[in-house]
Amino acid sequence: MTASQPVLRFRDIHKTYGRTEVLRGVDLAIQPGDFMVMYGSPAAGKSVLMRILMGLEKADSGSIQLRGEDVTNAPAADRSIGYVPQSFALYPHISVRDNIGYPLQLAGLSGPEAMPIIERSAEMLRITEHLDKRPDQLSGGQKQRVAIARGIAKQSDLYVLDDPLAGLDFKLREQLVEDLRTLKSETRATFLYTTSDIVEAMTLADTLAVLDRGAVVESGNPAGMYDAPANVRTMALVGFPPANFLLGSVSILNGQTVLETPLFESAVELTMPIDGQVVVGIRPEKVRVSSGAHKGEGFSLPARILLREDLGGEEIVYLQTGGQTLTSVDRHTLGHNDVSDVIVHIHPSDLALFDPRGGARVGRGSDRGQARHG
Amino acid sequence: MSEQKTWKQRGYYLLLWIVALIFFAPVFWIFLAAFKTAGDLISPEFKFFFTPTLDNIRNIFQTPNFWSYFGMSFILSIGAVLIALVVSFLAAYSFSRYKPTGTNFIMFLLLSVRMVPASAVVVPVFLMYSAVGALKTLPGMLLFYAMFCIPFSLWILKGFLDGVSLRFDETALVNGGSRMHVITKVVLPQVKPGLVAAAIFNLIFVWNEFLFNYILGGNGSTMIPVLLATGVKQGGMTDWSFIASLSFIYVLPPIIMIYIFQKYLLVGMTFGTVRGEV
Amino acid sequence: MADVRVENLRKTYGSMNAVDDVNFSFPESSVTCLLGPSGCGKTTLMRIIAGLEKPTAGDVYFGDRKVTDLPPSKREIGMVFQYPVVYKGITVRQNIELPLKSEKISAPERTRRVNEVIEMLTLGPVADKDVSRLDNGTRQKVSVAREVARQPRIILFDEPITNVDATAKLQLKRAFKEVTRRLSQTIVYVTHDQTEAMTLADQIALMRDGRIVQCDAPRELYNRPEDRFGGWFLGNPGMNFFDAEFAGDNRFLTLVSPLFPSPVAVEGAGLSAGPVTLGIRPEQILANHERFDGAIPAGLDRKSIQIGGQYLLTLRVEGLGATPFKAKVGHESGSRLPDTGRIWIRLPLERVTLFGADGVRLPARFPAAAAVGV
Repeated sequence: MTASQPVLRFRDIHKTYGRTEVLRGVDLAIQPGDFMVMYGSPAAGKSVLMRILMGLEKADSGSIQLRGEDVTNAPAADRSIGYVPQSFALYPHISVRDNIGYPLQLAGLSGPEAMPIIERSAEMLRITEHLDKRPDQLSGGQKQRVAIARGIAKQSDLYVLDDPLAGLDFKLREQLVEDLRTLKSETRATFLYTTSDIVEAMTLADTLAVLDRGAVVESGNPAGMYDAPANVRTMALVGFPPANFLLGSVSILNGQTVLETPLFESAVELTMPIDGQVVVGIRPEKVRVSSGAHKGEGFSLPARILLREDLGGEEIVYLQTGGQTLTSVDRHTLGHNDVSDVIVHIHPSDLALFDPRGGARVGRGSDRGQARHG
Repeated sequence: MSEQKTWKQRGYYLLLWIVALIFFAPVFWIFLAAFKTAGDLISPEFKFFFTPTLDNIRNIFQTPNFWSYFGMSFILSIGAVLIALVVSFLAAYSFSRYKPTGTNFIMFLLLSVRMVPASAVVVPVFLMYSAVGALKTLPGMLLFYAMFCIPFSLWILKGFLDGVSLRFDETALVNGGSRMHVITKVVLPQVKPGLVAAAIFNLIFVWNEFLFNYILGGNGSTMIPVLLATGVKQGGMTDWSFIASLSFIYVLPPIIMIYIFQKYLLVGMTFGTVRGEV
Repeated sequence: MADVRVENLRKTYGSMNAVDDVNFSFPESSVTCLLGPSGCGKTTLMRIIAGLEKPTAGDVYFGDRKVTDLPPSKREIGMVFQYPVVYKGITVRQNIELPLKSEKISAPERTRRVNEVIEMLTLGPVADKDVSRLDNGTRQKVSVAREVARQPRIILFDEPITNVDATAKLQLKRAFKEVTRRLSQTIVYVTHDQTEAMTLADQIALMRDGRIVQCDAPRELYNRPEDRFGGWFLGNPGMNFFDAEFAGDNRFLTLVSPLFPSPVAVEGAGLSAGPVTLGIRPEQILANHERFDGAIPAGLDRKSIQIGGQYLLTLRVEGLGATPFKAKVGHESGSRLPDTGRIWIRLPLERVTLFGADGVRLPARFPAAAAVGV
């Protein structure tokens, strides 16, 4: 297998349940050795796609190529993929050790051969002391870790982890995200991981694929997608807290392209010709809040604080200005005083413009602009 | 507050004990009677204290055909139940996993078989058996009882199998297990309580069945209940010693079996081992 | 109104101490969050206060009144549970009014109170709708409204927003803020979510293994954890810990660690030479692609985008062992860093916390940091 040949490729996968079109043509290729995270809302169809990949469901149309071969109609047993399903099932009648070793046992490994692999998986998931217990003696989080251990114990070149950390304690997730990255760096295997937590997705991913409305909106390097989203939905979905969006319109005035929104007007640079309505996106860290006067360039708008959420290292401030709600995030620059009226600063070059039809990016704000109600 | 509660609870327990004892009284009477001499047994006053005797039991063991009838009770009960369990487990797996169209209706039909009074079917069955020459044969009796045990076993097992998440099957399948592996190694161990429950209920049914055994059975396929019903008259009188001691011997095996298997009847083994569904 | 006091409170389940000899006072007219990982005893403590559990030993006081032996109904408390408790089939207004009727409050007073809480919790638009037709978030608002309208002296909240979606969470947080701003009840709020606690609390009581480890205002707790547990549990990710050493003697002590270019003078009562633990929060580490004043070289293993576009860096420093640590830097400085390779970092002394071998914070000061004026 050459480096350029994907280990896995979905082609135009469709799946409909009753009247609900869950997958509407998923196309995606995964290169060997990649850690790909598929991110999407809980109902985006990630699990269905994974189940189709595992051979547990049949796609209505489309094909799957695995290691260069078409496996669209191959039975589940022939795909040899390490799998941590979203709703997992531990066998209650056998010990944790046997649960983890189960895929190895089915693969025909003898007890002594399987033991080091089981121990290694258990150690990574911190369940070594529970190996001889029965699953029903474990807490929910411990069971979940057993399920992950079972998935990675299987010897394979491809692991599919379907939202394995959902519902776990915040601190435990932090730890397991680290461990999964370590596991990745220690093996040559390919990982396909799904989650509906965007921060988890960005932390883990070498390649990020955004699944929305049954199709992959965009995929690529997470930082690149964050900085230059090609689609408005990418900007909306990749990043936390979610980006701000305003409706505006562009027009040509005295040979200059001008954007008007309810909050401000600004000169903009278009990369694609568009006239009329646009969607304007602003990252929350680009919405700067101060209790004092205008600092630096850009628009200044008076705003009222709706809620300040303290995340510890940073703070999310929900604001209301000119009939619009804005989200801002920063590192506690506002201080702890009980202010409710503040000034919001936005730099026009931080604006991203999208076509409301189709959502393609069409331009960005330029360096000049002014607030409408400043 | 807690004081009151315990008094109330004690009251409840007392009541439960009284009710249980009232229901147990006839059984207790039979048990005592099995060890009484005929004189003690039919004496006008009920004797709580008496000199126990094993004569009745010894007489039973010497009754002609006792051992062959007793053995037949075991062969028919265990044989029929084993056949029924294998058939109904596989059927229940198919109904539970593949959900063929009309599953619910079929399940209803199956149960309704058990609603028909036995006396209504005994004549047609007799005619059919005599037509195919299955009357008075061991296989005929065995298959008849198996047929009678299947609907109820299927019902119980389907309920248990529905409670075993499909995720268990899938875990085995994606790791390379065959369908047979799923059925025997993954699902079967998890429905043990269901198998035990179905087995016990049906064993008790076959063990105590009289009517069909009396009419369809014959030499070499007759069980104790027939003996119990046909051997009660001795010299124009009801032989209470016979009834009591044979009943006593006959209820011992099922009681011992239930005692051994009762832990399997406690359900709830799989709670909390499956995520994402209940 | 009254404070809630517990004295020598203990609750044992078998051999486990769910609440382990707690002496604590929840100040009156303020919001105290009981925060801790699952199994730390926070819910048990609250249930003892509510009278839903009997303590194994110890007493509960509301003001001067001992309530240990009173049943919940006689304690004059309100309680909001994890799942909304509403009476289906009747309207929001009727739901709020129902307990007031059974408390024999006059009709005009009832109407006044109901209208007040409806306004306070912005339930106006749904006031006359059947609760069965509302989503979970709104139902939870109704449960809050009903407890508030009863005007008990103490209101207990048991993870009230854990089971609602993200949008409803924000709304409930706002509503809760508004309610607590206006009311003067004593509020005890149990949560495992640090953001919730930091956002809503006047003070946070951090619990671990049945004990209250520290109680402080949110920012104080975050910035000056009394022991390692607080440093680790709060923050996303939590504090980094490093083994370091005090060298020298009582007259002149220095902190020696590969994290500083040279040993740093340290002073404080009762400090002596020996091993210590150095703690610093990831967002307080400064990082740059070029060498800067006071910086040391570090190996960057990986960087990923986080909340508000910040970059999370996985770093190693020579001489610190194999375990990597984390730093979190702003988007701009993070973008300038290479994906992997050598960068420069500095740990500002004023942000460094030192812990003793028992994990408790040491009263250490850095004269050099003070000189900079922090």
